[in-house]
Amino acid sequence: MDTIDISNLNRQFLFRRADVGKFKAEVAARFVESRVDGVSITPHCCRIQDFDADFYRQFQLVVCGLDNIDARRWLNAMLVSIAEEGDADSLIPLIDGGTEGESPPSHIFPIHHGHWPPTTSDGAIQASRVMFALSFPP
Amino acid sequence: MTSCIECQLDMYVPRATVPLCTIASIPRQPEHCIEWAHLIAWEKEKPFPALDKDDPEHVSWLYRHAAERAREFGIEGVTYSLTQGVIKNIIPAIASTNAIIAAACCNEAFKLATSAAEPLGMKESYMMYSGNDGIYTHTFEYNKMPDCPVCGTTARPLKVTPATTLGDVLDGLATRPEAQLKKPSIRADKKTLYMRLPPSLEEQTRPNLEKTLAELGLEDGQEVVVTDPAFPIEFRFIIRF
Repeated sequence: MDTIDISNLNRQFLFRRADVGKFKAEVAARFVESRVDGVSITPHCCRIQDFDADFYRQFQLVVCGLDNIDARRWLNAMLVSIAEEGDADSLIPLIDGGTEGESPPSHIFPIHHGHWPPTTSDGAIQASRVMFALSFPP
Repeated sequence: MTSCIECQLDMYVPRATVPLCTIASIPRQPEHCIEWAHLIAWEKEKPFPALDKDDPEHVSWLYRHAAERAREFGIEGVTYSLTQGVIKNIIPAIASTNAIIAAACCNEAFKLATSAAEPLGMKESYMMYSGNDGIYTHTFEYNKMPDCPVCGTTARPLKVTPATTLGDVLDGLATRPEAQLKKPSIRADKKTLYMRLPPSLEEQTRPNLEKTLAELGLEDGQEVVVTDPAFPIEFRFIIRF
């Protein structure tokens, strides 16, 4: 659903000026396919919440690069609900990567309902993380 | 299974909000001045028919007014790019951070897919990189929460008082870091307390929002179930007075 904005071009290497306005998933898939031989990618331009458990069951691994918490929580709950005790194949490892403003709450800009505010000053570099929510049982 | 994202929800603290009166009366931060220009000055003067946050002329207008207000209150730090950031809610992100995090994800996916090395998640499950402070990445084990609504088995305590109204309880669920439920519906054992849908049920249960938990007959130790249209699961809470 997310489309390419001109301000994305400085850090999102798969996109070029001519791609502004197009779907990110679409452009990224074509770029990687043309760059790496033998790779086949199916982009979906919709919300991850639009798919049901059967869709997610077909994967052996899920890597998230999401820009909001609700979508993470939803996908997490979906994958946990798919996992069944005693059936290792039903456990789908989730690798979640994300970046966020680095500042503690006191530095974070306050605003009104429904906005996702920026951190306070120029050059504040974000803390980032890779999170492994689900994994194979030890 | 390791801890899940829901176990870690209180790491994603909801951003504090500043009341409009702070913005309107005495600003303390450059952002307050920008919000003043955005919400108050713009509305009052309406320099253009509609605000286009991508139009440099509009952003410049906001920047000039914010900078003037900042000067008035002796606040430093209002810049054009901060103005843009505040009104468009931009989180600063740079290419190297994205690349490091994407690469770390790919490495872990590779390890899981090939078993070439032990992936994260066997012992430690959480890796964090803070580019501000250097290139060290901190890796640690994030424990499972026994009362996690997604992967846990027990209901989570909900600290309230008998005099709290149901409406306040529901508002609190939106801001509690470990809940963050914006459109909660709630029911107890056999009783519907408040349901947002369908509209007829909403209308019927709306008067309950004004009632206190005591008036609704809820007791210490009683379990309530909360649902929210954004999530496919039920959240179980135990009332604790």
